[in-house]
Amino acid sequence: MSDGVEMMGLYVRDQDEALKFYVEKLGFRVHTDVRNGDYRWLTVQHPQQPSFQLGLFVPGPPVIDEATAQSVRAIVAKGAMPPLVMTVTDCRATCEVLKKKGVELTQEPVERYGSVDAGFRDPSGNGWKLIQARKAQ
Amino acid sequence: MNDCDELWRWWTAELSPETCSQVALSRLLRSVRSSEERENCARVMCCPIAEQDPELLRRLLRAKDRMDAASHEAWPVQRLAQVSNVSEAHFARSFKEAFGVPPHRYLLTRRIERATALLRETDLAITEIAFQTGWASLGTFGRIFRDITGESPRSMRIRARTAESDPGRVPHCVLSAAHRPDLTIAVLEKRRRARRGKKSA
Repeated sequence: MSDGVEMMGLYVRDQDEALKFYVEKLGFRVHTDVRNGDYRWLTVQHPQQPSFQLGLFVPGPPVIDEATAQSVRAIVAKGAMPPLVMTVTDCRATCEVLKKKGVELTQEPVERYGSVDAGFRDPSGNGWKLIQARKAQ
Repeated sequence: MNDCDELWRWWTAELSPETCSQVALSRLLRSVRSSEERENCARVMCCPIAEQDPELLRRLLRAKDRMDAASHEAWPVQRLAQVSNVSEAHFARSFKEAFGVPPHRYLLTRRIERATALLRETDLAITEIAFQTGWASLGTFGRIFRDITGESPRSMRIRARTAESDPGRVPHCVLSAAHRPDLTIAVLEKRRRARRGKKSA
C-alpha cells in the first residue's frame, strides 16, 4: 500500500444513466454502490486500475443547496468541466469498440507527433480524451 | 390551456417577486413542458433567473461538439438546430446564452485556432490552409484572420516558429484550445473599432 489519490468524483445528471454508460459502454466495474435515504454513493473503477475509483455523483441537497446544484448541472451540461483523460494502448481500436456500442465521438482519432488521441462525452456532458501514448523509441 | 398563460396568471395573482424565492421560481419554470416555452415564460416575467435547462444545454453542447469536430464544414443554423433538436430561432438565441458567443462566431474561432495550428506546425501553403479550414477564398481567410488575431497568416507563421517552445506534456487538444482566439465582439465590430482607432491616431 502506498500513498496516493484514491477517488475522484464527477458530477452526473443521473446516476443510473451514468452507471449504465460507464459500465456497459466503457467497461468500468462498480466499486461501491450504497444508498442512505436519497443519497447514493456510487463509484466505478477502470478494470485495469484497482487502486483508483471514479465517483459518479448527482449535485443536490443535502450536500449542496438546490440553487447551486442547478448551476452545477448547467456547467456540466455545457461541457465546462475540465477534461478527463484515459490512456489506451490502441486509440483507433478502442474508438471502434466505443462506436459499436453507440458512443458518439466528439473527435475522431487524430495522430499528432506519434501519439493518437480522440474524444467523447458521457451522457451528462463530461468530456473524455482517449490518448494513446507515443511508442518509446 | 397554454402553460405560459397559466404561469403568468399564477405569477401575477399569487405571488409578488419578494415572496417568490429564486429557487421556487426556477423549479416552477422547470415544470413547464418545453424548454422553448420555458424561455418565453422567463422573458415575459422578466425573470432574473432565466436559467437554461440542463437537458437543452446538453443538446446545445452536442452542436458545439459537432462544430469542433468538423469546423471546416459549413454550419448553417438550420443544421445546428437539427443536431440540438430545437427550432432555428430558438437555437441561435439559446446557443449564445449558453456559450457567450453566437454559433457562427464560435465557428470562426475554431477555424482560426485550426489555421493557427497548421501555420505553426506544418509547411502547408497558406492557400491550402485556408481551404482546409473551411474558407472559400484566400482573401476572406486572410482578412478575417487579421481581424481576429491582429496579424496576417504569414507573419503569424514566422513569429510562431521563432518563438517555438516545447509543449511538453500538455495534451495536444487541450493546448490547442488554450490558444483559441477569444472573440468576444463581432469581427465586423472589431474591424470598425480598428478603423476608428487608426483615424483618431
